[in-house]
Amino acid sequence: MNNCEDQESWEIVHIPDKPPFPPHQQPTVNVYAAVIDPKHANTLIRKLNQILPLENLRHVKRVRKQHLDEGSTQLSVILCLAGENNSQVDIIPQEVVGLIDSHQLDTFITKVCRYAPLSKEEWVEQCKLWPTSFHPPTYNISGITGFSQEESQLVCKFMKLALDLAKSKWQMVNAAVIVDPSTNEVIARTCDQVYSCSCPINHEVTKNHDNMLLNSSATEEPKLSFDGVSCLNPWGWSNQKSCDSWHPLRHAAIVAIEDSAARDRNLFPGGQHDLAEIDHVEPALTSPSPKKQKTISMDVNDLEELNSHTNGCHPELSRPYLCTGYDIYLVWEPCAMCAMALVHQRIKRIFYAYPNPTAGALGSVHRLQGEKSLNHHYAVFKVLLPRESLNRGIMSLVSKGDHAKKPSNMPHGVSL
Amino acid sequence: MRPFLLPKVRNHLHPKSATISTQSRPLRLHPCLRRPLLSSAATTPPPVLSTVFSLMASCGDREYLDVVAFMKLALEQAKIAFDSLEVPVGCVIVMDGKVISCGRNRTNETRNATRHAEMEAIDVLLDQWKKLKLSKAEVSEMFSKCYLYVTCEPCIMCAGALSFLGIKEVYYGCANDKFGGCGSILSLHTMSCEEAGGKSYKCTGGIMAEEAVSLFRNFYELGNPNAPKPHRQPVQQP
Repeated sequence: MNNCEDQESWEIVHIPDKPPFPPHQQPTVNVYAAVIDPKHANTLIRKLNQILPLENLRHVKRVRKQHLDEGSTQLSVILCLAGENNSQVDIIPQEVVGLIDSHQLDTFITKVCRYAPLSKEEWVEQCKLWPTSFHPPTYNISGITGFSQEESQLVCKFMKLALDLAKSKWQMVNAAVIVDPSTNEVIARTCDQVYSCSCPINHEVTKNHDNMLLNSSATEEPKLSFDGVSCLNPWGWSNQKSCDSWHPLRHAAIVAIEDSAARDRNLFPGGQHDLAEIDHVEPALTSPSPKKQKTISMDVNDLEELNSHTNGCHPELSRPYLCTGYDIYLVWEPCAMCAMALVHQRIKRIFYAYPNPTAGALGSVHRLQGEKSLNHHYAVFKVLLPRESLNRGIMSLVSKGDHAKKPSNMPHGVSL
Repeated sequence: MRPFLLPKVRNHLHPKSATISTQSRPLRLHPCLRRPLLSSAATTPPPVLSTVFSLMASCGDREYLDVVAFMKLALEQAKIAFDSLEVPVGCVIVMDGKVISCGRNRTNETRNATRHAEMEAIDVLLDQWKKLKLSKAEVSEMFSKCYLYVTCEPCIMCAGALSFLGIKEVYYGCANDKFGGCGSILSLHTMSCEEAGGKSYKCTGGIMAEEAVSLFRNFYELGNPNAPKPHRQPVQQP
């Protein structure tokens, strides 16, 4: 029933780590800087990088070289972050004050761009304030630079699966499908279980549901309520009517993670948790250097490969390390709890169909994919649905032919 | 051992807790530890610091000793996690001055990285209350009387969950510089959407932080035996 021949009308949009800004209006932070004598440049920079590395401003160059009118050049160096008003001399760290005194530096406050540039255009604008470095994406592991037709079809197929799950309940809920993209195997498929724990897993959506929803949306304004979508309304669990079994925190993504963990334990029993380096606060205690993270992920890959050869139970399967390498399809953008759970469980990519203006944590309210301190980062994509799919039951489409795809009758000021 | 957690801990230390737990040796401050004063941590206010002082102002010695006593129970849970080769975090939930639930990290055992101490303790409570046939409104009412004592600042996931449940108050040990959802990275305890029925909860850090940090230190110095190899070589036990 899920034909994807119309996938041209689907659109997969990458949601970047930082909010989109016009190149010339990028957010900035204030820093203390000083003009330095080129003779002392090496020593000073080494000392500064040692006592005060600019962790969250790695894209910003520590030194700026300016060509002055007379043909000479001038070097300036960033000392430390400054407050947003100008009376914050007291927050310059003692070591930096020491350097300022010993080199008799005249400090000044200047602006640097807060986020790394995502395009050459942005980079050019950033360098007008203070030089930054630009690393264009050289890989397409996550589809950030685009999807092939085949990949798009799969994305469309799995999103439809999630949509079918979401609308097959007695009220609109969120649904989650975890997929291993290397085999296209569905690892878990779940719905919100906040109000009821009976999820129609492993059976197709009944014709009746389809017809009912189709009719309601075709003939009149759909009277669908979104209050049951737990990530949209996470505080409202106690006001909703429900069956006997309910749980305020069993959002679809949480249940999906639980199911995938149960699958892992079933397929790969045995006490040796070779790969279970699971964090709670652990990265707070380990080196945050990207080099190290790279090493770890390579180790994981090596081990996964190793396991695929040595695991006696399922030699054809490799034991997953949590959800490393897996994708999750969600109908609604997840809340902070679910989005962080997906960080913990090491999901590789998140696809969602509708944004979540009340509690969304992947761009709407928070943007976890851009929180540099987290020890894992997934790529996030919004899947814009074509009219056909919307008419098949989720909601009616107001605009035709454009990409606004704005349905009517959204509560809580939801705009898609 | 990297003392990254120390500065925040120090910043957040209640003067009294300092006398209880951390004065035995001076805290070594790595220079980069000054960063929290300057970076985003400075702009997002020290919610913890302010609440520590409000705690000091609002409660007497006996209440503070109660807080410490409950945190000791949370630390016991963390030690159970440690002994089970789990990242050592533990918590207790208190209502009307009595411990009604406890939990510890169970992520390795379950292979589910969301099974943090808080989630475990919450599920214990939900099970209890459902057995008592409490309605959702009653359960919600119960959560609004609950105090959580947890050895480490709740992560973003747990901080969100606690907000959804409408917990009354949270006391934690050390700050969680990488994942913290109660002030360190996000401030979910104060940022709930009120139109959607969200309430904020009071959050106080730095309670016996040194003990919590030293558990982590022991855990990682031994080398997490469950870490992907060779993350850090475990020390060979005699």
